[in-house]
Amino acid sequence: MAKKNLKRKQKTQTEVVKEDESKVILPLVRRSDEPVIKKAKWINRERVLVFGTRGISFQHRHLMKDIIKLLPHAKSANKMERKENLFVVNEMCKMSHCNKCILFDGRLQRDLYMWFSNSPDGPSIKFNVESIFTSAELKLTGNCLKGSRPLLSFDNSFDEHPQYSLLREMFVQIFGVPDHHPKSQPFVDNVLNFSVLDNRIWFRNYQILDENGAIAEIGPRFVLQPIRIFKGSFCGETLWENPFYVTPAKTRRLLKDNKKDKYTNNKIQRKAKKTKELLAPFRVKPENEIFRDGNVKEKAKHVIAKNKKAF
Amino acid sequence: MTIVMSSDVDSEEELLELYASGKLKPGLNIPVEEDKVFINNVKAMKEAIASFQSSLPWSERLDIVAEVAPMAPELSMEITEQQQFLKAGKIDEVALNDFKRETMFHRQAQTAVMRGVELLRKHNIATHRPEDYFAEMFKSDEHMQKVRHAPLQRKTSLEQTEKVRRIRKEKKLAKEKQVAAIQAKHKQKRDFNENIKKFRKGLRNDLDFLETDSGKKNKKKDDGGGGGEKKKNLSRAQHKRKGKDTKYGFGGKKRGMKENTTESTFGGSGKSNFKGKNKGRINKNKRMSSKK
Repeated sequence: MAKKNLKRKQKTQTEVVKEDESKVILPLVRRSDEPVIKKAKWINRERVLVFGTRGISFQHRHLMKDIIKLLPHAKSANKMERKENLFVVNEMCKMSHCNKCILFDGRLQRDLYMWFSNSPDGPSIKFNVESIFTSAELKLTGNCLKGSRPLLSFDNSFDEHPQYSLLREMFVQIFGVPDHHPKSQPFVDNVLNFSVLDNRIWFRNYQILDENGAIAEIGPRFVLQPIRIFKGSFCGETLWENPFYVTPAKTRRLLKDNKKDKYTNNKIQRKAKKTKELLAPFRVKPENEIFRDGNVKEKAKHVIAKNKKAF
Repeated sequence: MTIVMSSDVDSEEELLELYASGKLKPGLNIPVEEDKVFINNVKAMKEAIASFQSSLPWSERLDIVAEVAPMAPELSMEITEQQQFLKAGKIDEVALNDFKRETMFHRQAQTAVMRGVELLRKHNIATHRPEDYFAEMFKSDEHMQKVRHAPLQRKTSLEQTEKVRRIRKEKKLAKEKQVAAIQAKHKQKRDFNENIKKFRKGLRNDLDFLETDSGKKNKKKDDGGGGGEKKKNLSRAQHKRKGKDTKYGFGGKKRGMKENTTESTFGGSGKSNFKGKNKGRINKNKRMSSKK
């Protein structure tokens, strides 16, 4: 343990020296009784607990690992048993000295819900996560330093609607990497992009290539559909409900329902066609009408008479 | 008539009572569900924001509100189109179109970068990593190597398949040509021999065929060319059918086609049923007689 601590100290000191180099050139000779350079201030003591429940699929787990990688101030924990009450999470946060929490709540290895919470006082938000692509499965060209501080880019609608501005504050506190965090890097080289489209929040991660706005995507990609905002952390009254939210089970059912009538419709149509054919088997040519039934000769006379009248 | 049902299961007596009192009328009765009221407590939300908002300076937060950036003029038409769609409520038009959606996010991030860089400079935060600064990256070198090789691999594999296809086609053509040449040669020889035989027997008096042979050949070649053009006029499906017919045969029983029959063994008409490899070869008796 002692060794580890030492290493960390050394690293931070070298970083500090590097920053100073960019500002002022240090003199070559220094006196031994000179005061030691003080550690840079690490004010923002935000820590985020990132973990999942049993029932998350491999893809969800990879997404979780991506997010942990993005956030140097994140702490991971063991998978939680689904039987436990979610209120236990607050205690877990307290135990691991975290004041924010991202919980990956998986159901049946299929649906993923994400909880963003400000522990222990709240608020907390429950999201449904859709169209997940982890950084490993996306073959994107961008890359950034592990633990570098990202810019957080928000859409205009994060200012317009109160529910989104609450989400924005939450995202800023969770995804914003604290300045001078020992595991972070002293450069800003990526942008986390949050935009609202179709009542969902689309998450994208870009690398800053140069300062004129050239960017390249890094990954991961996912879409958050907010379901509810609670006043407390994993508890309390509901502040907001998404009126457009449809549960994934229901969407699946609707999709299935669409297919359900295909077979019966087909059957009905075939039957109808058959009966139609039976009723009028020779309706194709108009001449055949004459031979259908009755006396042919009389009909022919009738037709001739008609033609004469017409002339 | 529609009536709001008090409970899900109404007993017959209750229904009868309702009917007697005139609340229920004959016809189709459908239970009407009340619209769900969605909670949207704006005041409480604002309070919640105020309660947990951090008072840290911008250099700790690094958040930017950015609209979609303007782009090159040739693309600006498209942008206005997108915004019109959004304004008209046709969100699906953008949300379901991968390219439109991703460009929108991309441009939003671009504005954020341009604004952010200015602010970062103001706060004296480094954006550029020096060349000699090495640290662990978000994505491993292994993964980046894969990414770099992916398009290359795709290209080489495409080239490979193209090459194989070309060679196969060339081989097929060459074989066809060879067979055609052999057959033409045999036919020429056969005709020549027949003519000589006729001349010997006195059926023919002139020896023109010795000179005009090459002329005939040329004519025949021209005819062949015309046939080729006809082939080209075939529709795609017909062409395919024809190809398959030549490859697998067309119609009838295939079994026993190559077996000997009485006809084949005892000469008969002299025409053989099967398509042998050596189509140009003629009956041995004929050959022997022509040699004399």
